[in-house]
Amino acid sequence: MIRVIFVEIDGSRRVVEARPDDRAFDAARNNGITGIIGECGGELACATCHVWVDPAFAAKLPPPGDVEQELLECVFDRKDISRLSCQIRLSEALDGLILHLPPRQI
Amino acid sequence: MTDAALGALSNTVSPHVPAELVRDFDLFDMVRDGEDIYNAWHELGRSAPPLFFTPRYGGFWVLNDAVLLEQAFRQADIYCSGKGIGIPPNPPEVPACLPIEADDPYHKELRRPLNIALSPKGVAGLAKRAREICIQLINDLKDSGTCDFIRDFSLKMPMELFLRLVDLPSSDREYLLGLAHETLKVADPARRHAAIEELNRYISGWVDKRLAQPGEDFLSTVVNMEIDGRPLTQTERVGYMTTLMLGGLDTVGGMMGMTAMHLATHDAHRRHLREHPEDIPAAIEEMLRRYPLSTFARYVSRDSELGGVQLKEGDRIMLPTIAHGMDEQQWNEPLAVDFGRSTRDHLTFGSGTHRCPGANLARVELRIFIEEWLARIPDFAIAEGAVLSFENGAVTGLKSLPLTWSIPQTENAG
Ligand code: HEM
Repeated sequence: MIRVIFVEIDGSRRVVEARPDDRAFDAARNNGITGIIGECGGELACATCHVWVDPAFAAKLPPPGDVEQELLECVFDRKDISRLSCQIRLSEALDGLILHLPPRQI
Repeated sequence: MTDAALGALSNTVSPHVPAELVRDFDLFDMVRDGEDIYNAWHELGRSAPPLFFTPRYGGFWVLNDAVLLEQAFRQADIYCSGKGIGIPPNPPEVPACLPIEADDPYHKELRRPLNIALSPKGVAGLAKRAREICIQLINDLKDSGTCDFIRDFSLKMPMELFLRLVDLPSSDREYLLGLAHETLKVADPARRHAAIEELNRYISGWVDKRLAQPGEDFLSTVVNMEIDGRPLTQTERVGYMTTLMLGGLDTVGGMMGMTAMHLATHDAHRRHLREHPEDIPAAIEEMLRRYPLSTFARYVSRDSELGGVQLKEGDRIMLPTIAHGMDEQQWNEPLAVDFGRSTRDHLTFGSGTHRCPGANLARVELRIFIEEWLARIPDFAIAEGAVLSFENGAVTGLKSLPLTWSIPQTENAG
């Protein structure tokens, strides 16, 4: 099991468990993290599963691809550490991954 | 189905279809005027098998079960769209509706710019315009105390937003709504065909203008886009624009109609949303769950098993999203409207790779409509003696919705 920690904008934290090969998006959806919408169901089409990756983990993720970059242009509250959680593939190396939820998706 | 009727249609039933799964189901003859199409789907869900075969329109499997519908929408590599999603299929001279009548990876490439145009930020840009139009339309009719909601209101806002997205003149709105009606609702094939051709000519003319003089709008984006290093063909561009215009029209208009019908007949719900506008988003999701509208076709691309039934390559299947909303295994008392129920995973916007890119915009339009309408016309009812009738076919909706209210009701809403 891999633990993923979602941090709300008010600082409150939820620790959820995921299986290797789940995406951070699946971990959020399967555990009722409502700050992630994922309108398109994880098809890399909608830009509503936006997260800020905690700086401590930023270097452990492969960089975003072209389509993700394009969609990151249209999220609210974009930061350098912005990612779409449907593109974060979990593995043991990412155990304890901290993802911050932005104030809004839509 | 009687033996005689089955006999007349049986040339469209292939030998691999088990006889006990054949039903004479006609998507275009589900209800007569005055009958409720949602009751008809609910009844079908209870009485017909989860997957059955109708010989109509060349023969279709009908998915009559929420779980099977979800599965088929998701497995777009097996249940594909590139050979058409229309029921009955469009004649070959009609340009393919893009990106909907395309398969991955071509489909995903086509959709990329649309995802951006209709992204949260893109929609935020359209929302301001949506509110302006909505208020103006309501102000135009509120002092008359009566309207046909479908004719006078529900289609105008989505058409205006399409025009804004592609920067076409707002003054063409009524002309295009007329053509859209001929294209989608008129039974006579000759008239329908003439309307499709006229619409294609209209759009083609604008494509040429944008080629000569591109702007910042979405039509210019499509005109200039490339796939695999080649520009789109004229047919692709026209097919894309037509889909975009029509895809968000009857659907948004239909949902607004259903919402207005529901609120007109449920005083407590109307009052609740006036007093608790924070519950409007949840109410919209429940309206979407309770009143899905559209049915799409797919082609089976390889032999496969679905719900324990063997399908063959080349078979056609029908995905009625209404059957999902009315499924008793999926929803407790599906006909009841409950703003508090969990509506996550309704299928009204589809699922998988073709899932509706306009969902965010549709929700914004519905929210603005409910907010602005209730602020100006807080109480309204269905006109006395009115008979409500539903469209049959691939997209349902009310044929008309005569509403009345007393005037003046509102002193302060402008
Ligand atoms: C309540 C309103 C709406 C409903 C119920 C609805 C429903 C759907 C459904 C079920 C699909 C999937 C079709 C399939 O799988 O074959 C779809 C696709 C589509 N919708 Fe919507 N829609 C709505 C509003 C809109 C709006 C406002 C727009 C445009 C501004 C739009 C544009 C499209 C397009 C372009 C597709 C094709 C997407 C693709 O093939 O990837 N829709 N819609």
